[in-house]
This record gives sequence, structure tokens and C-alpha cells, in this order.
Amino acid sequence: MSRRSLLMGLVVIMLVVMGTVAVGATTNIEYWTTMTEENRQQVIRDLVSKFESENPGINVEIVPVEENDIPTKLAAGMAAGMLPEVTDMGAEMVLRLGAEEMLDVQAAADIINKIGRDDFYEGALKMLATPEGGNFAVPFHGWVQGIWYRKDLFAEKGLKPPTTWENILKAAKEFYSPDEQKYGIVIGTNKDAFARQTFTQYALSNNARVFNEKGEIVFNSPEMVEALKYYKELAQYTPPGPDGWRDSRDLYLSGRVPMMMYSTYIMDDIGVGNTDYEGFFVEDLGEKTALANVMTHKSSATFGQVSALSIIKGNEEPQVAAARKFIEFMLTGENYITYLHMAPGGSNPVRHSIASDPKYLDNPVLKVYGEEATNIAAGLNNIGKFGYVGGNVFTDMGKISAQFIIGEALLNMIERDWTPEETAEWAQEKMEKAIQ
Amino acid sequence: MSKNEARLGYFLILPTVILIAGLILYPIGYNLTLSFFEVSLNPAKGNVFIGLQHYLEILTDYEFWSSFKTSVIFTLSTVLGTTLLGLGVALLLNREFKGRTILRGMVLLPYVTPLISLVFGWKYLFDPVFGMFNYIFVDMLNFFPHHLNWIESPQFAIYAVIIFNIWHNFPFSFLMILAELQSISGTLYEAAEVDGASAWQKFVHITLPELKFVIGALVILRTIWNFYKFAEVYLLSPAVETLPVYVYEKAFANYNFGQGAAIATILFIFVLGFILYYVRRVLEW
Repeated sequence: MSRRSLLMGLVVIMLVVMGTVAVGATTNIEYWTTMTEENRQQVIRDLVSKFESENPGINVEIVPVEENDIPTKLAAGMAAGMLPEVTDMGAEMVLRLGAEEMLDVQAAADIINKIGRDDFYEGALKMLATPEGGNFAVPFHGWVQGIWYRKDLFAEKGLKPPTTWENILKAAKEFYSPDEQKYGIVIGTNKDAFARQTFTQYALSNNARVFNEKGEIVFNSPEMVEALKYYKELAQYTPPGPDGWRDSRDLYLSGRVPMMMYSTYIMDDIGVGNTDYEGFFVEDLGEKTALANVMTHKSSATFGQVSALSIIKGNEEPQVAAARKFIEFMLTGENYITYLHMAPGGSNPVRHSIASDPKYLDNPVLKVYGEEATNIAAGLNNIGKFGYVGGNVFTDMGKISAQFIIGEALLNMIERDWTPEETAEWAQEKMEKAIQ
Repeated sequence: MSKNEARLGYFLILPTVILIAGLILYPIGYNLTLSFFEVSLNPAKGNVFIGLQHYLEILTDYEFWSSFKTSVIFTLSTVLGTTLLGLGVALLLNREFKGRTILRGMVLLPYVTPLISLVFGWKYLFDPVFGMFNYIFVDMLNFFPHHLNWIESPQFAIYAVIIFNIWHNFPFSFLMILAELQSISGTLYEAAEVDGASAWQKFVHITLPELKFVIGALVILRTIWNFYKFAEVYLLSPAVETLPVYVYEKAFANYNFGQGAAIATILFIFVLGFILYYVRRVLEW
């Protein structure tokens, strides 16, 4: 082959490649979701194909992202200038991106108003509020956390439900029997988001905060030290070594612990055995289980999470329009109910009209829990969180949670035996550095 | 004619030159540039030039030096471990015995199995409640009073990571050393025997000198690889904060790309210095 024909060949290949790129005139949007489980992915894929057939010319690419990986993936995406158009993620991440001016606040407001602002839970909207009074993103679904416990075993031993610090500690001590590999309780003690989530409830019930009303870090307050001290004491009755959400779920389902902290996502694992946990499973666990989602000490605290659909700024106009359509599609009627039913009880509706819709309530898992299911969903209205103090939103909380500072502090305190005071000072310093 | 040929020659190596420039020189240059800037997340906002500030901050950061120490401990022990274990196993499997070929193949298994399945296997094996290790050593043999979390607890994590790395990587050293062992001429050993050398003397005066270069190369490669090892450490136990983990947390979790780049540059200079010293003084190349 001569040099000329080689060059000609190269030119032809270039032309063909450029041609194929130019022909496709569809609008592509990328949708990031934290629902990485295969069965949930299937539901999302079905919804997306329905959306695509109703909206020819729009192509939605689903990208599943593990919750703990979101900060890193987003950072990499930002650096590369390849961000998604729509993301489904927790309120902290939304605030974090909002603070970086990465979110399309106007688009969010338009969608919320179009669906009807009054129909959204006030509490859910508050979680996503901008300091100026708008919303960073559109509330999508939410979960509530609490202590799931074996009411049968509690009744046997004559113990009171684990709703106060005293009751929890007493029950944990009572059931702790490490020689039989049975433990009192599972709480988050690893360097991850789970530990921050479980700890928040203890801190808030002791009126301990990360920020004061001026937005200064107050993690070394006496209230926080007290909460840390209690958490360390309670951690004596957990399985050896650091624990995460998987330990919580597996140990409870296998009957190794009578109490564990978890979100409402455990409802279908327990209720209808829809779980990827494989192993010994306690019989009729659904009937033996109850949830204590309000923790009381100096005050009462409920913790949970609101997930929201955000539109990322800086995309082309047709993509933003497609993203709006997609979000409206996901939040409306049957589509929304299909979405919520993929993890019944776990993902709770953020719209009044859907929460009371008979079609929504017609689900095997939600029926197991009966009226409690509606109460749990309503719990979304009273969630307390570290980033929200007296009506103010502190978006800096997003930086603190992205670095798992609270989880790392708890890990150090419990596994390296730091004192609560040392731990509080260490975290205080690290948080101040993080929000500089 | 020859001029034309020379031009064609340049044309033909051009893709390689572009490839190397794009894959090696560009990232190094880009990394160096980033390290002088306060890098903004939002592409719409610009980066701010801050000179050497990142370098000053890092070199005075306590966490940097503690990760540095962890990295040095990790690298030293794994380099020593993989090389010695590889040498030992290679010497054993160099002898004639029945089933030698199968055994040699089996030794390679830890190296060829995908990392992620190994990590999950190990985590399950050492699980504090369900794990086989605790079952055998605590419940059956009573070596320890209680079940322990051998991998994730911070006090054991560094050992777990080191042992895992040695076990995972020694087959590579084994393979290289075995290949070299087989090329040592038998006449050397025969001559030594005639002179009445003991087995130990044969090992020290024939085998080791013959293996010098392969072991030297293994040590330098393993040092470079393990000093930058991220996946194995982070997947098994994020509590072990080696330098690559520190960089990862600075750059991604903290969104501080400038600082991450500065640390990478410091590491680069450090490893380059080590290699230059090692090649000249130890290997005498």
C-alpha cells in the first residue's frame, strides 16, 4: 500500500466518524440515581422507556451511583466538565452543589409550582430551601430513620420500647451476649454516611448541634460531648469492630441483634422478605418488629432524609427542557407510584395527594404495616438535621458530610478509645478546616 | 531517497510520540500546573493562582506526615514480604518432585484472581460474626477470648492490609525468581560440590549472586507499585490512611484538586529520588 492510499484511507475514516456524530439529533440527558440495586434499576429502566416512548427525541441515560461515591463522582464530573443533567440525591449533596451555584434554582421553582407547591410536604421543601427562600431542587421521596426492634423479645424481658436513652441502653445491656455472637444493638461506627445519620438522632435529642444560629461550628459544646459519651457507652454492646448499614440489616434479619438503627428501607426486607441478604432469616419477622422513630432525651428528635431531583446548571437549553419534562414525568400519578413501590415503605411520597392515594396504599408491604405506614410518611414533616438551625440553612454541612468527619470521629472514639472530649475537639478542628 | 525515507520514518513514529506526550507528559504538566492553583469546582468560575501555598500547607500538615509514615511502613514490609516469600517458594518449587507443575500453577492463583472478589472473600472470612476465621480460632480452638473484627478495626487494619498485599502479590516475585533460577547453569553447583561447599554456601555464593538483578528489579518495581497502591488498601480498609488514600480524600472528598496535585508532585519527586539513588548505589547500573 502506498503512502497516498494510506492517507486517503485515514481521511475516509475521519469523515465517516464525523458524519455519524452529526446525524443523531436527539437530546441526551444523563440521570444519576442512588438506587443501585438490580430490581430497582429494572423499575427505573421501565419508567425511562415509557418516558422515551412518550417523548420521542429525548434519550435518558441512567447512571447508578453508590451513595458514598457521589461526592467523588461529582467532583470528577465537574473537573472533566461532564456533569449529568438530572440527579437524584440526598439533601446534603443538594445543598453542597447549591452552594457552589451548580443548580438551576429557577427550573426547580417552576416545576414545584407547576405540580403545586401546597401539595408538597412543607418539611421536605424546607430541607432543600435556599438561603434566599427558594428551593435548590424538587423533593422526590424520603425515608425516616429509627430503631427497629423485636417487640416479642422486649415483651418477654419486660422491657420498655427503645424511645429514650435509658431504655435503649438498658435493653442493649440486657441482650448483649458476645459468647453466643448475640449483641445488644447495631449503630453506625464506621467512617461513612451511616454513622453520621444514626448519631444525629442522639445528638439532636440532647439539643447538640453542629452549627449555632450564626453558622459557627459548635461541635465541642457540652451537649455534644454528652451525646458522644452516651454513644461510646452504647457502642460497647455492638458487634466487634466498626459497623455499617449492612451489618445492621444482616444481623437483625438473622436474629443476632434485637435492635438496630436503619431507615424505612428495611420495611420490604422484613415485611415480605424482599432482600439481597442470604442466610438464616428469623421467621415472621414482620409481625415481631416495631419501629421507634422518635428518640427522646432532653427533647424529641426524628431523623430522615429527603431525596430530590436537581437540574444541574450549565447544560444546553434543549437538555434543560428535557430534564424538566423528565422530572415532571417522574413525579406525576402512576409513574410516581410505580417508582415509590419499587421500595415500598422505604421511599415515602413527598406529596400529600399521593400519600393518601388508595392506589399508592394498595401494596403488600404497606398493608403489613397498615396505618403506621402513613404515620411514617408523615414523619418526613418533622425531620431534624445538623444543617438546619432555627429556620436557617447552612450549606456548609454538605462539606462536612462529604468528608465523613462525624463518622471518622466516632470510629476514632470507639475503636481507638479516644475520650469524648478529645473526639469533639478533633472533629471541631477538622470541621472548621473543611468549611474554610 | 534517504531524506524521503527519514521523513517517512518520523511520520511513522509520530503516533508513538503523540501517544507518549499525551499520556505521560501532558498529565505531568497539567498536574504541576494545578498544584499552583486554588482549583474551583464550578467550571464557570476560574482558578486562582496561589503559588507555593499548597506545598507549604501540605509540608506543615500533621496528617500528611502521619500518612507518609504509614505509607513507608506499608511499602517496606510488603516489599520485603513479597520478595522473601517469592524467593522461598521459588526455591522450594525449583526442586524435582511429583505434582510440581500443578503446584506451580496453584501458587499463581492469588495473583490472577480479580482484586474485588479477593477483597470480599477476605472480608467474609474475617467477618466478626459470621466469619470462618473467628469460628475456628475463637469458638473451636479458643485461641482468643472474643470474636474480633480482624480487617476493619483500626488496630488490626494495617496488618490486615500488609498481609493481604503480600499474599496477593508474592506470586509475581515467585514467577520472576523461578524463571531466573532455571537459567542458572548446573555446572556451577557441580563445581561447588567438588570443592565441598555446603548447601548454604551454594545458596549464598551461587544462587544469590545469580539472582541479584532479578531481585533488584523486583524490589524497585514493587516499591513503586506499592508506594502508590490505592485500590487494595482502600477497598479492604479505608481506615488505613496511606498517602494515596490521603491524596484521594484531599482531592475528591474535600474537592481540593490543587492540593491533591501538589501532594502528587511531592510523591513524584520523592519516588524519583529514591529510584535514582537505588539504581546507582544498590544496583550499580
